[in-house]
Amino acid sequence: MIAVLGLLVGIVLGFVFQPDVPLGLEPYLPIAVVAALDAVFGGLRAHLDGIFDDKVFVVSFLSNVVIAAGIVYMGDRLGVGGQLSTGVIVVLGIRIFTNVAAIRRHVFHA
Amino acid sequence: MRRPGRSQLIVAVLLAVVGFGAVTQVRVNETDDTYSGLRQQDLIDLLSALASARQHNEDEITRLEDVRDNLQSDTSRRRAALSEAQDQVDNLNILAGLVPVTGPGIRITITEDDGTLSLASMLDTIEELRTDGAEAIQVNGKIRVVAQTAFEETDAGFSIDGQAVEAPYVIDAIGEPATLAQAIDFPLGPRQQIEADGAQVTYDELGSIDIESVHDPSPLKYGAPE
Amino acid sequence: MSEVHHKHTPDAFERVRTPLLTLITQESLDQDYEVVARRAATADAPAGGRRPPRGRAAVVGVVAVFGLLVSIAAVQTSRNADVDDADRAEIIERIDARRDAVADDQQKLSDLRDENTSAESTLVDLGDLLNRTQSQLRGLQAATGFAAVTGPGIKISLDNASYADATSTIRDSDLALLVDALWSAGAEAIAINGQRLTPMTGIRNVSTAIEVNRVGIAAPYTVLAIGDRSTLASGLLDSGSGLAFSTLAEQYGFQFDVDNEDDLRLPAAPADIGRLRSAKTEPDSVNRAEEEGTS
Repeated sequence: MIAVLGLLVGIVLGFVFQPDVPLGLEPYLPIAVVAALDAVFGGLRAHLDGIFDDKVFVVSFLSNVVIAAGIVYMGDRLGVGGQLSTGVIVVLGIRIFTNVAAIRRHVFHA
Repeated sequence: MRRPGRSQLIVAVLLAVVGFGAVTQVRVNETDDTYSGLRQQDLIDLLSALASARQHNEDEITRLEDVRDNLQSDTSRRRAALSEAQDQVDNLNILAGLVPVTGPGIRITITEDDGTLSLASMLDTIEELRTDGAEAIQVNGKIRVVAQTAFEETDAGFSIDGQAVEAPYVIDAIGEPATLAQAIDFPLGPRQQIEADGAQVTYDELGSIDIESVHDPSPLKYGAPE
Repeated sequence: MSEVHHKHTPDAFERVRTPLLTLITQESLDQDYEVVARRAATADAPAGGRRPPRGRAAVVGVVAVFGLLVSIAAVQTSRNADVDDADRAEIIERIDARRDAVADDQQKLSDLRDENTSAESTLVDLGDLLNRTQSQLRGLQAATGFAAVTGPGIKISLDNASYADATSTIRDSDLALLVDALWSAGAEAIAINGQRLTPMTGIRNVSTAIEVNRVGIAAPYTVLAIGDRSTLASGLLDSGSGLAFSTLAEQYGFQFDVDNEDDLRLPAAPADIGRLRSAKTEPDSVNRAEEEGTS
């Protein structure tokens, strides 16, 4: 419950302050969000599986965001940024789908 | 038929939704503009492809314009050469006696009273006319005199280029009338000779004489232009 | 990392042989959760029991950060949407403009190609016409004496008698008779002492000298005539003028020689001799000549 509250607080803060993203980081924000989404759904599934762990969640969240953005950054340097971000999105997308499917099984038993 | 079960109904509804969505998407795609399927990068690529196509076209246009300019100057050079050649041909057609001509000149009439005109007098008259600028000469309205024209004495008169002519002789010459008149009248000139032959010569200076007779063109058979 | 150390060989092989997509699906949940859970189970810790408050606060913080990221990304995207649309519209506008320009250029190109093709054929036609006219011109010039000609013919050498006085020298009319005889015999071109005879060339006496083409000439005279050698020399004395000339020649003792020549060269008459001042072609005859020329 408190976690959900935290989510709401974050969203509200973002909309209230509307901070400017530095131009250099702007291309990596969307990919970071997708990576974070993956970590969040992973955590939710672990919670429902009953094996949730604070440290694992925090570490996986941060590392997901940093690695995803890092891969895209490296891709940009190599001139294949567009293709690499597509690859990252595909992998993360599959994981999100699978995790959401597991969550669905828990919630609806179907 | 069995009554459709609940699951079948659900499947039917879902399929209906899918069908509806697909049709809608296709419709939307059709109505959208030509570039809707293209991302920003594609558009930029298209833009630069168009730029290079344009550059290519413009180079080609420049090249073709050069070609056109060359063609035009060649054409005008050729036209100039042609019109010069044509002018010369027109001139030479007159000199060669191939075309009827008109212009100022004199009409000389030689009548035989109590003698016959000698060949020498006839030739002398022609030579004097030529010397004084006769540009076209015709005898008795039917024989055009050119460089190659040969005069022969016959019993009845003359045979000029094979055609018989008899007195009175009418020589039409185109040129400056006063000068041509001088050619007849000068001391020891044709008039004196003709009268010595026992013939009479008169002339009229005319503002315009038509010379209708033409010389049959005879291409050279033995001589060749260099 | 630690897991690889834990279960060594069989799992590593299994992992390598699993297709990538399957691997991704299998490991969709971070395996660290399982590892930690297993470790907790074996360590007999308070499984799933009380979580330390610090860890809990960290989770809440991370979730809050997640929310923040999402909202920032959403705000940024919606903010950029206008700019992107504007960029896109501008690019499309430029593409359209450039497309029009390219189409214009292509139209211009095909016009130019057509123009050049027709100009080329005009040029070729002109060239043909020019060649025809020039060969016609050369023929006319040769026939009228305004171009040099070469060919077989005869060479007549003529000189006064050695004892000639003022009354017995060769006169213009003598030369005129000789020339007339040559024309009668079928000469095509004649030159006297290098002066070509044209339709406007007169032979006349000016005081005692003889002028041809308004150029004075003097004995000995060399008369060149191009034509059929078999008839020129024989026909020369058959004509009335030829007979008259030979009578004169005998009477005054002219030195008179006729030689056949294989290759004579007769020069062109000065062009200004043939300049016309008075004569004009009649208008209808011009048309006729042009029709003949173009047909």
